[in-house]
Amino acid sequence: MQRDSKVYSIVFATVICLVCGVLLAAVNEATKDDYKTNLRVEKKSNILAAVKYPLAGKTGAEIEKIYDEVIAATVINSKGEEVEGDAFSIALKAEKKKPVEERSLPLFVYANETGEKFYILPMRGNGLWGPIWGYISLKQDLNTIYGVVFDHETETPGLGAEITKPWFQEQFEGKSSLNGEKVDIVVLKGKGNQLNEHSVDGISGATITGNGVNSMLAEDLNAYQNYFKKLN
Amino acid sequence: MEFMDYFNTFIRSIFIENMIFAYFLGMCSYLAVSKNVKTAVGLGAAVIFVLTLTAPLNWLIKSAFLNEGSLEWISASLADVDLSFLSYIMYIAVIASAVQLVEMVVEKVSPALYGALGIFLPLIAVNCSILGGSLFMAQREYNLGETVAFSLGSGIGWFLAIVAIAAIREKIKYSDVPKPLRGLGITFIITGLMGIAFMSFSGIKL
Amino acid sequence: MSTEVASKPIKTSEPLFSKKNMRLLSDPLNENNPITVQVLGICSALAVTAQVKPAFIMALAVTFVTAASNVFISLLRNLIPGNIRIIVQLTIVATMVILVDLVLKAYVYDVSKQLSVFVGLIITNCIIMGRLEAFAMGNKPWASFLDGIGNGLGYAAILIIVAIMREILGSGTLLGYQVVPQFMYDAGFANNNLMVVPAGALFAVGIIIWVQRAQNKYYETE
Repeated sequence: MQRDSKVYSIVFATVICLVCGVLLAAVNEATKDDYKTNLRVEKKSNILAAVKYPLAGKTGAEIEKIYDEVIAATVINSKGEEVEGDAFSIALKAEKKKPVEERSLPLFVYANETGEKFYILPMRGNGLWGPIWGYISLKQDLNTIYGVVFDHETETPGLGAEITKPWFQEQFEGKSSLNGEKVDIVVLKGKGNQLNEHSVDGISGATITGNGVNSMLAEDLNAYQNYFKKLN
Repeated sequence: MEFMDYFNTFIRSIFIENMIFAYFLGMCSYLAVSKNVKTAVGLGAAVIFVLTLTAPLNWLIKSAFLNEGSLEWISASLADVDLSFLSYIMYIAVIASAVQLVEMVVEKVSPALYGALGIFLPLIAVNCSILGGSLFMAQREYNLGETVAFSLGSGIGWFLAIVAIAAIREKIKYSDVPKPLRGLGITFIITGLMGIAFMSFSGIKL
Repeated sequence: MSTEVASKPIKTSEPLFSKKNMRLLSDPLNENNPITVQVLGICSALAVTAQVKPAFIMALAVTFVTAASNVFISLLRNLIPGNIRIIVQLTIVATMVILVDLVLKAYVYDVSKQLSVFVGLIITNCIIMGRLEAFAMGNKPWASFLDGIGNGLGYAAILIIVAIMREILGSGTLLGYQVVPQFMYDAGFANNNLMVVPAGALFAVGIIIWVQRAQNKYYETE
């Protein structure tokens, strides 16, 4: 057959597409479960990291076991009622597109050896380039911040991506998240500010990422306040 | 209100999230085809056209075939199929075929336009900004309206960038640039300066 | 046709690491560098170089994909119909990239997280397409493999130099460790945010091109 004939081109293209398609489908099928496990383990480690549970050197299977043992989860709505659902599998991305009244809000509760409870709230928002998300844990008074974890997809390394660094996250510990009725905890612009119990140092050059963290904290924490009032 | 959202996306993608100055996408042809303004305008126009065509097309393909559960409209038994791992290959195939198709149509319908755009069209299939457009559209989960606004804006942003650098390069020929810096080197540095100028847009809240 | 026949016996008797083959590896590192001389693959060179670690991972991935797709295209070079060769090349590159992505996601999830943003950029990396078109379409698999590795390494070299410049000047760190000592800060050194933002990458590459061309006495005449 002629190499430049139309029939040959079509046959060749079809064969290439089939080979590539089948190859990819096979590899995808083979790796899918491992990938899903990785995603699940990552989410569980983030939740545990928000209450500073030591996870260094633990394997994926161990993390899943620890999670199942120490974390309890419920789903609530913004009116403060408990609703049906599996807290772990709720995709915040989809929930945040709904108006706040219709959202299902996952709430994770961790109890340590002495029975002290910590409440872990997931958050999601937008940084400069793409989504940012994280978990924040509150002490039993439902006000004092115990720990935070932030992550991001596409923030600039060295600028916005600094939100994942310990120096940034550790600043939140011990701060008070409520100012009166409202959530008030802000990342300031740049470093070396006059800090109070509601503010932390920002990242110079990454003001927009910092603003993203602020609105994420305010919006997602406020939605839980009705439920917290009932608990108190 | 909807309209304002689209308009904001449009303006953002021209100035704030400019394909060249914020993401460096399409740098290869930006550097190679910016020696004079006339060819730069031709390539820029072709990029606007192909980008505005392929990103919405890829959006349709993504939401009809590739997203998890999107095959449900064919048959309920396909509701669990997730083909999103094929997205890169689909996007690039759509882009390459769209470019080829556009080339053929333009050649038949308007030989004059073909004469102007013709040589640039094959270059576009490998222009990073076109695939970048589709990838950003997917990553940011735009709806169809936003995708159109975003791809048109990005195309125009790219057009502006290449025409601007071409105009500067036409003039810089007459300057006494150190020899090893001539051509590519100085173009990089000027692009950097232009990037700093464009950064000032990022303070604008839309 | 006749030249091909004539050159065949010479090629088959050639040792795997002959001088000519070694040049395929070493040329792209300096004299024929894909970024600074061939002007290919700029997009990703700039986007991932704010820090050394992502730059290193990206360089590794690109080297692998360039070498692998070079080999495949070279194997198929006598079968690919000319009128659809771009699409075929893109399909194969995209397949390689997705394969890398899937495997990383399943087995080295941490690395995959680092790379996630850049995976799409690998497909559009002009180095890969450029080498396929300029080299693999006309050469044997082994030579194409070496050419792919060589160009990947040439790309890696520039990427890492740019990343080192940007990370030290922009953040005072290297691979995340503080390398600029405190007394430098006391003496007035400040992290230069300009190096972290996109424009800094352009300046860094511009300066590297300047130095390299001054040394190689390679001048562009417009």
